[in-house]
Amino acid sequence: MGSDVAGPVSGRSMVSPAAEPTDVELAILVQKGNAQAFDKLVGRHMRKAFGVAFRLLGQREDAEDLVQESFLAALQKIDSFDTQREFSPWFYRILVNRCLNARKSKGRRSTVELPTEVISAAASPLIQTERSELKSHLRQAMELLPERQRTIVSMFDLEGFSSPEIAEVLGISDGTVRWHLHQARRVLREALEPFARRKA
Amino acid sequence: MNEEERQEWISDPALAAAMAELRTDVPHDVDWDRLRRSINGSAEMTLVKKRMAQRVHLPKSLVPLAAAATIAFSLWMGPAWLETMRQSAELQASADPSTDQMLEQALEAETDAEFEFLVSGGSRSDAYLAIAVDQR
Repeated sequence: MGSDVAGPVSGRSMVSPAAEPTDVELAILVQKGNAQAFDKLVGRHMRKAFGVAFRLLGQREDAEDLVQESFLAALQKIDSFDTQREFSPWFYRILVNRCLNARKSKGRRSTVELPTEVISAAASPLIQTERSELKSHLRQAMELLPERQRTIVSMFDLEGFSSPEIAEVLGISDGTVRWHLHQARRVLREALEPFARRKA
Repeated sequence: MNEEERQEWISDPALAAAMAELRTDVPHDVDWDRLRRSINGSAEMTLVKKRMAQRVHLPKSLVPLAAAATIAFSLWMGPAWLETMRQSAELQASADPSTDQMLEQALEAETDAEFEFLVSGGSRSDAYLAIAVDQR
C-alpha cells in the first residue's frame, strides 16, 4: 500500500489528518495505485452512481454491474484525469456513457423493472393504488422521452444533479440542459394530464 | 441550482408529486458492502500494477538522461579515444609478426645457421653478425 490517504498529495497542499481528502486528492493517490483512496472514492460515489444507473437502465442487476464496470473503467483511465478539474463530472460521464451504450446495445425500451414499492404502511389502499398508478404513468412517459431528455430529467429531478453538473457530464452547455429539461417536463405534464384530470 | 429554483421548475403539482414518488423508487436492499468489496477486488491487480509502475518510474526517467550523457561523452572523447585505440592496435600488430611473415622470413634465410636461428627464435642482429663472421 502506498502513502496514507490523508497524507500529502504530490506537491499539493498538505491535508491534515482530521480533514477529509477531496475527490481530486483521492484521485491523485489512485493514480499512484493507492487502494485505500480508491476504496474511499467507491464508498463516496457508489450509491449515487447506482441511482443514476438504475434510473437509466431500469434493472437492478444491470445497474450494479454497470456501477462496477464504471469504477473499473475510471481506474483504467485515471491517469488521463485532469487533476485541475472536478472528479465527479469526469466519473459520471463514464457512467452515463456506459449506461446509454448498454441501453442501445440491448435495444431496451419500456422494460423498467418495478422495484419494491416504498409506500408507508399508513397509506390507504386507495392512495397506494393512486400512487402506484401515477408512478407507472410517469415511468412510461419517461421511457418515451428522447434519450438525452430522459437522462437529463433522471439526473436533475431524481438524482439531484445541478444543471451545470449535468452539462459537464454530458458535454453540453447549461442552456441546452435547461432547454431539454423544459421540453421533457412539458411532455411529461401532457402525459400525466389525463391521470390528473381523472383524479380531479 | 438551489431547491427553490428546483421547485420553481416544477410548476405542475401533479408532475412534482409524481417525481417525488419516483425519487424513492430505487431498490433499497442493495448489498452495498458486497458491491464495494467486489469493485475493490476487481481493481486490485490494476492498482498493484500502478504501484509497481510508480516504483520503476524513477530509474526509467533517468534513462534518457543517461543516454544523453553517454552520447555527449562519446562525442567529446570519441575521436581521441579511437585514435589511441587505432595506434595501439598498429603497435600490437608490428610487435607480433604474423605466422605468414615468420614463415616467409625463414624460407628466405641464406644459410642453415640463419634458418636454425630463425626457427629457434634467435633471430637477433648480434646472432646474424656472428654467423656472418663465421662464414667468412
